[in-house]
Amino acid sequence: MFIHYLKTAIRNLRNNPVFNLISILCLAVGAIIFAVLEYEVDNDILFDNRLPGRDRIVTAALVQCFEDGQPDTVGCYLPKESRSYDSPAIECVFASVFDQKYGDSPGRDNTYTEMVLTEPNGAQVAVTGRFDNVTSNYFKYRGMTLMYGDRLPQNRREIVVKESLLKRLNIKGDIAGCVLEYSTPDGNTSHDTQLHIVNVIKDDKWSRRVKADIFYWTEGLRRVYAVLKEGYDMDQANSMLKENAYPWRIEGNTRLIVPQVRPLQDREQSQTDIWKRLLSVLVLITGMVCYLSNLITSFIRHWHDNRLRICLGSTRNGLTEMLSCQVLATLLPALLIAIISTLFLVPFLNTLDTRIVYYHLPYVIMLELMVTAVVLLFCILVVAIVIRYINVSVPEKKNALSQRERKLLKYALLTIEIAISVMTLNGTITMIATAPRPYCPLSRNELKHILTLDMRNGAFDQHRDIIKSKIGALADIEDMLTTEMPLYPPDDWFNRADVEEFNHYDASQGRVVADIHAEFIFCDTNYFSFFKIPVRHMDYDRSMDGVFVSEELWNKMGDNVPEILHIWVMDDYHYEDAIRTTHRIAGVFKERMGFIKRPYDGYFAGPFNSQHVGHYLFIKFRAGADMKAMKSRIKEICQEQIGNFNDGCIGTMGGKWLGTSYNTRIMIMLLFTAALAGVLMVLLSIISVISADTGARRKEVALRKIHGAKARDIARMFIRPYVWVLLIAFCIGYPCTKMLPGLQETPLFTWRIPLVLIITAVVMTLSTVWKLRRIMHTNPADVIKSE
Amino acid sequence: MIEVNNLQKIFRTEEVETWALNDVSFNVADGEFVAIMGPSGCGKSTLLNILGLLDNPTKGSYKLQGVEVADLDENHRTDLRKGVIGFVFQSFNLIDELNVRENIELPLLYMGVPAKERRRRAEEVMERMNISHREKHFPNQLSGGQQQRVAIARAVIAGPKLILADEPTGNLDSVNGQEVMNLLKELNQQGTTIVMVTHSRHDASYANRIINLFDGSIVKELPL
Repeated sequence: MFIHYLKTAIRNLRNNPVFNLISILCLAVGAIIFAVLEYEVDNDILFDNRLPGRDRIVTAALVQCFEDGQPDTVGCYLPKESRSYDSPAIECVFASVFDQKYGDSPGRDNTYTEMVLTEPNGAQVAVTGRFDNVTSNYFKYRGMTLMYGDRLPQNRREIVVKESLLKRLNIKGDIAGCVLEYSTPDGNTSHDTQLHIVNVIKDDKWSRRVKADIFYWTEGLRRVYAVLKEGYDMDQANSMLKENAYPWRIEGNTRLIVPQVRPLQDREQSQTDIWKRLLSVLVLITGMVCYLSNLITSFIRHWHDNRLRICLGSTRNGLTEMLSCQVLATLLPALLIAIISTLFLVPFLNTLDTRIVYYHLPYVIMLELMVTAVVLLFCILVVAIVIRYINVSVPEKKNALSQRERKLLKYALLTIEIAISVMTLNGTITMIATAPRPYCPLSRNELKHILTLDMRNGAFDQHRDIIKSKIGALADIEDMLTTEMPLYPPDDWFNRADVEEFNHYDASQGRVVADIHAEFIFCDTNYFSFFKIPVRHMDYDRSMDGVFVSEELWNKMGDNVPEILHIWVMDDYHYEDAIRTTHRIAGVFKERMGFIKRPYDGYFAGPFNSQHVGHYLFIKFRAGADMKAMKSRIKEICQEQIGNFNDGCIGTMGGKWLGTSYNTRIMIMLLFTAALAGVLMVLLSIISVISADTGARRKEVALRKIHGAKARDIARMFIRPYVWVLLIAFCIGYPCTKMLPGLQETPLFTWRIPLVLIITAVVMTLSTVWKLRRIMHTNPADVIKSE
Repeated sequence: MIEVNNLQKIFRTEEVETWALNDVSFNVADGEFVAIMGPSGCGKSTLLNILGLLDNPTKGSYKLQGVEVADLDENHRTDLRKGVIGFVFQSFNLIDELNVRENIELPLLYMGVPAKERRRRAEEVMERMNISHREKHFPNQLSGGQQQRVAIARAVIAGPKLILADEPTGNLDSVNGQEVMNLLKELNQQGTTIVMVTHSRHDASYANRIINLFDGSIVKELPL
């Protein structure tokens, strides 16, 4: 029996390949995108929901208020001597020390990180390694983001795990993972490779020992967690922490950083997480609706056969089995496509700046299986209910369903489909319109006209000034900036009043008006990472007290703007100073390199991460300058001075932007691709439903044509009810968008209303016209005969 | 074979009450060939639905092989129908996704007959209906006459005692119609009881008896 059902189902697939392909692909795409995005978000936010003792897990956040009034959550370096955390209220701290964009090491000489992470289930995860200023990516273990290198094939990583266990650390236990990474961007293994071992040590008790450098990065601290000791609640723990304020004090700093613990649910979801979740839901809903509506249409088409089967001896349960088999025949290919695509997608995502790593593959696939299983169960339920209402009588094709039933069902389906489409379109358009994207404040042409010269190489050491002056003397140069290693500033430098002015520059007023810290997430990260200004935390072992702009050079900025501006950066011991400095830097860059074109909506000006402190020269040329010639000229100048000059030191700002925004762009591209897949599915589902409807009325069209109806009359006959369907569906679907994650606060009445309405109307009209054209061009006699 | 007494079938909607069958009584003996005639809307198809155990009468008695079936629920009706009643329809009603052999095998499938046995019996019937050469073809690849032969093959494969034919030649040309009627006659001569609804006097002439229906009532019974 099963084989018979399966054979019939497969023939069904073959008989309507386009129709079935659309529904299979829609479901597959929905399942893939849902599983991947949902897992990514879930892994980051809800990983600990599955852990025992989760009610004692809290976020450990350090809050400080800056002098300029900007509240922020920051962490700090724990002084060496206080690394063993022994708070009376907190059992242990576990953290993802290395976060997405800020995962680099804090410095060369004091970056040895040792950490024992103890999970509530008793497993200990030891992380140890030497971090250097490397191109790194992130290793995730049970929701914690750790470091990993992205330049090794995965099988190599596995080998490293074993080797490192034996040779380097001699830690016994089950290894959770290990990663090798390189200190050189060229991936040359002969250079100073670094090992990071993640090892699970089985232990029945919680560990109090946490040896970790919990240091501040703008986003990193969101993932620092603590476990309260039994019997302590949040308030008790906080008052205890405030009283002791140990060990979160930073020596040598005037500020006291007060630690706090918060309920875990206070964790903020990043906007990207919300968008990812939104997209995952949207695409899944669309995929499922498209699949289900196609399935129901197919059932209606075969209604007559189902009645016939009952007439020939099948029971209703037998019929349910048969139709379930048909569902299975479409679900299995969808699942197969989803799994195969996931096998490629997850390793690809693993190489990007995402939280999906290769060993998440089984979980993602499991999620896809679950989606498929839910769809299957739902379909079986629907089929079982529908079958109960099949009217048994001598089957005649005409009376598969009564006219009224057919009409009702058709328009109900169409309305649901269009309503979901409207919801998806609205959600996707909102997301696309508001999604963060790598911001480039300069036009493509302007990017081309700024060259960068990397003078960090030791070969430049003795020649920097000469090179700068020679380059500065080139004819087409409009401006030039350079960044250098830290020096000691004059003490009164930070008291200069003009430093603050860069907090908020209002282009319309032409002046600084206010500080808008809240918006930094949307602009500053891209702004700074775009520049890659070599601003960074310094090695505190080198006793660098700060990062400063020399007063002498700063003064030159007044009326006589110098050709070369030296900018120095500071380390985290002087945090407020760093803020001012970076504000100043931002402002200078803004004015000097043309960034003033964009209304300045606020910078976050904390110490931010970069790969090196060094000598970068930014050279801005006048419009129309022959950049090729200029590049060769600069190359010649460097060649003359240092002899063995490496071409790679010269780049364009465009190239730099592309390089630094790579991960962001890829992430955005992936999100947009998922969004477009959603939109495409919407369009396909509208087309398939409209086609099915118009196709089912071929005979009616043919008869009307025989009796004198023209194309216009037929089109009007179809389009009129569709207008009502569209309006009703729009009224249902559009407000429903607010139920989607992340869109609760979205204003209802915006410019999206006409856009969504127009897109839906156009697609409906085009699909109707396309299908009708085909029907109208067929000989009506043939249509009637074939029906 | 069939005993029908005072059979009534009333279709009720909110506004209208339609008497499709009104006190219909007749008997059909084993091995008889009965034709039911009458104008459109006189209740022929309703009667056939009830005789085929696809529907229950509103009132009255219907005994099939001596068993009262008028009040049976659907599951019982389905069980009783299997292997006892075969259907032949005007519009053939073959399943488009199944080829000739699979269409013919369908009643056996629902009776739980093993695949080998199904195949053997299907081949036998196809041979008898002269459609063996079309075994792998799908309905849309067959002529009307061939489709109806497949439908008859499907109706007889389970060896039913009763065949209900609803205008079996309605969609066929005269040559194919003649062929189908010959087949039915042959089946009847082999002992199968046949109740056929038809508009055609010519087709009705193959029957032993004609029952004329008008407005849901039997107006005339003519033995031939």
